Amino acid sequence: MDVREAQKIAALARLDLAETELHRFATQLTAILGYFQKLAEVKTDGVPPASHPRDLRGPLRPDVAEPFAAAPGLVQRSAGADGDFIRVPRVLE
Amino acid sequence: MAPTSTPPPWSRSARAIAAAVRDGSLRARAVADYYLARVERHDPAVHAFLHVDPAAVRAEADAVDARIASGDKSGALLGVPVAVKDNLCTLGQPTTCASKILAGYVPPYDATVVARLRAAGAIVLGKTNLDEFAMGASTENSGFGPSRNPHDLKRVPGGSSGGSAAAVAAGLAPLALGSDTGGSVRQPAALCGLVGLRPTYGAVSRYGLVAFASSLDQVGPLALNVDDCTLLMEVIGGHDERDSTSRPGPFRGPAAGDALTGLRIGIPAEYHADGLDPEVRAAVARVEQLAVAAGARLVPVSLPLTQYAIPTYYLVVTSEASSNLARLDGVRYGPRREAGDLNHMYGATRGSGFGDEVKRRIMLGTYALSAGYFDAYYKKALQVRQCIGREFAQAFGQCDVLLGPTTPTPAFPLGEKSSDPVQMYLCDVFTAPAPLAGLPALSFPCGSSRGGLPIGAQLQGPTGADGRLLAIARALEQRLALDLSPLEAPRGA
Amino acid sequence: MELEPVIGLEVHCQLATRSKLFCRCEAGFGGLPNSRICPVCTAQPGVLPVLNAAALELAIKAGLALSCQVRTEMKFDRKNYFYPDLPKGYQISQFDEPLCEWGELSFEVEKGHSKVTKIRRIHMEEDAGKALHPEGASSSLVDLNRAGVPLVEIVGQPDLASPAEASAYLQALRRTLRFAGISDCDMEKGSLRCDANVSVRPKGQKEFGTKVEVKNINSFKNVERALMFEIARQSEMVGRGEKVIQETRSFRDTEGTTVAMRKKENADDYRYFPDPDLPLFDVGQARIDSLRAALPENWASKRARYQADWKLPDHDARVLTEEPATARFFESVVAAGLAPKTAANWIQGEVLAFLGETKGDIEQLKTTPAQLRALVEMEDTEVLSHQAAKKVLRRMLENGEEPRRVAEALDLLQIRDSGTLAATVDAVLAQETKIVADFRGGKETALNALLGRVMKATKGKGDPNVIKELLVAKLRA
Repeated sequence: MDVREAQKIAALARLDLAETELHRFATQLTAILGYFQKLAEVKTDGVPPASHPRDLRGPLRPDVAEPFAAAPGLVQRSAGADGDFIRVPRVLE
Repeated sequence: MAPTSTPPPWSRSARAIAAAVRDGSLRARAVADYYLARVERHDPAVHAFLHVDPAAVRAEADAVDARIASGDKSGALLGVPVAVKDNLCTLGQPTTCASKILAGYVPPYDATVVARLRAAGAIVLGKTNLDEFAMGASTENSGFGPSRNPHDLKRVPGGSSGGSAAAVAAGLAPLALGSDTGGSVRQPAALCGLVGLRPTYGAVSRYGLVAFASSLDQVGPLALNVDDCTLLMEVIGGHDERDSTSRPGPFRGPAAGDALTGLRIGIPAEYHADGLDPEVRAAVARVEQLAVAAGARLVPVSLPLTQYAIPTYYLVVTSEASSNLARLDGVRYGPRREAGDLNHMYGATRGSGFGDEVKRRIMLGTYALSAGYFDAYYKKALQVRQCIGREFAQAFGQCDVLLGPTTPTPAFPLGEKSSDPVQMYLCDVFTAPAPLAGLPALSFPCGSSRGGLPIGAQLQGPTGADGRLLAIARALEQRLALDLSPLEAPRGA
Repeated sequence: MELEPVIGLEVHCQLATRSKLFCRCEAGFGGLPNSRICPVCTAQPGVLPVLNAAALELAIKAGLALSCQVRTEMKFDRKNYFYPDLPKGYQISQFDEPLCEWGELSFEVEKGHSKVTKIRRIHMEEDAGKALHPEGASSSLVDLNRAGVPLVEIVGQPDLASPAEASAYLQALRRTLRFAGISDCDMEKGSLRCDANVSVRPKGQKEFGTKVEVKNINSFKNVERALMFEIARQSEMVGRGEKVIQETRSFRDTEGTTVAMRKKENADDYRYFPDPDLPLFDVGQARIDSLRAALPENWASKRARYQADWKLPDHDARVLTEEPATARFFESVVAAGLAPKTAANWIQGEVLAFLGETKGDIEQLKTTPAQLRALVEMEDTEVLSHQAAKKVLRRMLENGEEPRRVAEALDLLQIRDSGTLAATVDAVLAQETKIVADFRGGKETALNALLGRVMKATKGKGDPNVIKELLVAKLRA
C-alpha cells in the first residue's frame, strides 16, 4: 500500500491523518498485508465463506411499538443539539 | 475504612461474599467500603479503573442492604462488587471504551449483562481500563494510559480486558466482566493468574457491549477461581431477545460429579511449537499429568490451520470494526471537532478521537472490504474461517476438549511489543482460533514462572460445552491446589 | 437520427408496520423532530438490531403480489457510507441476495394496450433519517424519526419506453401494493419514493445509452415531467454531438428541471458485507405459502371479475378498483344484497361525490352497506322517489342515520294514498282549466303538465304513478 492508496482509504474511512501518520500506516499496512498473504496457501476452492454462524437463525420480533421514554435526552447527547434537531455542518447536495 | 493488614476471608471468593451478605453476617456496605478503600489505595499504581463513583457505589450497596432488611434476599450476587469493562454500557455512568472519541459519553441504557448484574444484587464498582475499543493484547492502547500487572507493575496485565483482570488480581474487586474477541478475557486472565471464560458465541448477550467485531465479540467473566467464574457466568448467561445472535434457552452450568474420568483431552501438536516459553510448556505439562492421574486420556490431535488463524482473525475483525466504528462520527454523541464542511468535521473528529491502533485497524478493514480487494482479503478470510471451523469439528470427533497454553509467554514488560503491530498480533496465536469457530474456551491458572508471573492453561470445547469446561477446570483446580487468593498489594512498584 | 428513451424505475415503499424495522420505535409520520427515536435507531454504542416480523411478512407479500420468487433463507448486508442522516454509518440492506426476485407487473399504457414489465428484485432495508438544509444556512438539521423505518426497494427492468409508460407502471405498482395491504404508498408522506434511470439511444440500437439517475421525484404528476425534461436534455446533448455524463441528478419541482447533484466523495464504494449482528433468517416455504394463500385479491382480478361476473361496464369496474377501500365497500354493499350495478351507481355517484367534496375517506364512512341497501329498497318499493333518495343518502352520509329516519325527518316519504292525493288532484283540475281543455282537445302532453302541477302541489312527495292514474280517471270521467 503506497501513500496515495493510504490517503484514499483514509478518506473513505473519514480519518484525517497527518503526513507522517500516512507514511507510517502505509509502511505498516504493507507489512501486515504481506503477512496476511499467508492465507493464499490455504486451498479454499468451493468453500463457502463463513459469513454467519451455521447453527443460529435470526429471531423475529412482534410488531409492537413501544416509545423510548428518554428520546429527548438522546438529542441532548449531541455536540450539535439544537432544540429538537441535531445540527451538523451544511450538507451539500 | 482502611484495609486491614490481613484481608478478610470472604475477600477470597465472591460466593462467600454473597452468602455472608445474604445471611446478614456481612453488610453490602461494608463490602463496598472495603473494595473502595483498596481501589483508592492501590489503583493509582495499577490503573485498573477508568471510572469509579464511590458515592454511587455506596448508595447501591445501601440499597442492597435495605432490600435485605425488608426481607428480599434474592439474587446470586447479593452485595458483590463487580468491576465492569468500560466497553459495556452502564446507564448514567460513563462508558468510553478507553477512547477519547467517547470521552464523557454516558449511555442511555444498561447493557443486558449489566442489567442482569444489578438484578442479581451485584454492585457495579467501576469501569475498567482496556485497549481502546478492545483492540490490543496489553491495555497499552488505552486512550487514558496503560494498566499494569499487579504481579509485576513493570509488566502488562494483558488485554484487552487488562483493567478487569488487574482489578481482580490486585484484590480491588472480587469479580469482573471482560469481553473476548480474540482472547481478550483469556489472555489477561492467564497473565494475571485468574480464571477467565470466553463463552460459546451467543451464550451471553452482546446488547450493550460496544461492538468491536460483532461475529466474534463475547462478554465473559473474570474471577479468582472456577466457582466464582461459574457464579458470574450463571448470572450473565442465557437468552436475550435484544440480541439476534443470542442462543435460545438459559445458560447451563457445570454438572456435578467427576469431570475427568474417561475424559478425552486433545493435545494439539501445533500449540507446542517453537516460541513457546519453556516454563509455560512445563506448567501445561503438569496439568496434563494431573488430568491423566485423575483418569483422563490424552489424545494427540493436529490443527494444522492454527498458523492461519491470526491473519484470518485480523482480517475479519478489522473489516467488521471499520464498519462498527463508523457511528463514531461526532454527529449524535461524543466530542466533535468543527472543521468547516461536513467531511472535514468527520475527518477531524475521527482523526483526533481515535488512537493509533484503532486508526490502523480501521484503515486495514476499510481496505479489506473495498472494491477490488474484497475477494482477496475479506472473502478469503471467511473461507479460511470456514475451514478452521471444520478442522475444530474434526478434532472434537476424536476428543472432548482441547488443552494447551493460553499464551506463549507470561506477562511481558510494558513497551516490549507496542511498536510492532504484528508482534502484538501474535500474542493471540492460541486464543484467536476458538472465536473464529464460535467455540467456548477457558483460561485457568496452572502455575507461575520462577519470577512469580502467573501462567495460564486453556481448555477449548465444542459449541455449548461451556458448563463442561467449567466442570473440568474446577476438577483440575482442586488437583493443582494453587493459592488463588488475590494479592494483598501490587508487586514490583 | 431518431432517439428513443430507456427508463427503469427504482421505487422505495414504506411497509405498513406499527414499529420500525429493527427497533420498537413507532414508524409514524409527522410529529416533533427526533421524537420517535431510541438507542437503537440513533446508533448508540452497543445496540443491536432485532427484525420486525410484520416487516418481513409485508416484504414477502410485496414479492408475492408481484409474482416474484421469494427466498426461503435470507440475510442482511451492510451498505457503508457516511452521512449525517445515517446514524450507524451503514444502512442495513440486502445486497447480492434480495428477498424477492424475478417478478412481473402488467400495466395499461393506454386503453386496450397493456405491457408486462419484469421486476428484477425486491429487497428489505431500513430508511435513513432526514437532513434539512435551511436556505442560506451554514448548517443542516438532522431529524432521525424516519431512521429505521422499514422499506422495500422494488427495482424494475429498464424497459419502459416513454414517460407515459413509466407513469402507468408506477400507478399500477402503487395500486398493486395498496391492494395487497403492503403500504399506503403516499408520495406526499414519503411512503412511496421513486428514482428513475434514464438513457437515450438511437432507435433500433441494442446497446443502452449512458444512464442518468434522477432522484427526488416527489409526486405522481412529476414522474412524467421529470422524465420528459431529462429525455429532452439528453436528446439535445446527443443531437449536438455531446456525450451524456453518467451522474445522479435531482428533480427541481419549481422549475421542472433536473440538476446534477454534487458527487459524494467515494460514494460508489459501499463496502457491502454480511451484517454480523443478524444471523441468517428462516423465511420458510410454509410462511411463504400461507402468506400467498392469504394474499388479498388484486385490483386487476377484481376489475375482470366485476365485468365478467357482475356485468359492470368497463368504466364502473375501473372506478371501483381505483382504491382498495372503494372496492371493499362496493363488495360489501353487494354482499349486503344490492344488485352490483345498482351498488356501483350509488357508490360512483353520491358516495364518491360526497367523499370528494368533504375530502373524506371511504374507510371512515358513517353509512353501512345495510343502510345503503335499506335506502335502495325504499326507492324500489316506491316509498322514496329517486330524487328524494339522493337527498336522504346525502344526509345519511353526513350523520350515519337510518334512511327511514332521515326520510321522515326531511319529510320526503312519498304520498301514495289516493284519498289524500285525490283532493290535491281535484284542486289542480279546478284551477288549471286551460290545460284541462287542452287535454280534452286531444293534446296528450297536457297530462304531463297537470302531473307536474300536482307534484309541485305535493312538494314532490306525491307518487307520480298514483297521481297519473287519478288524473286519467278524473279527466276521462
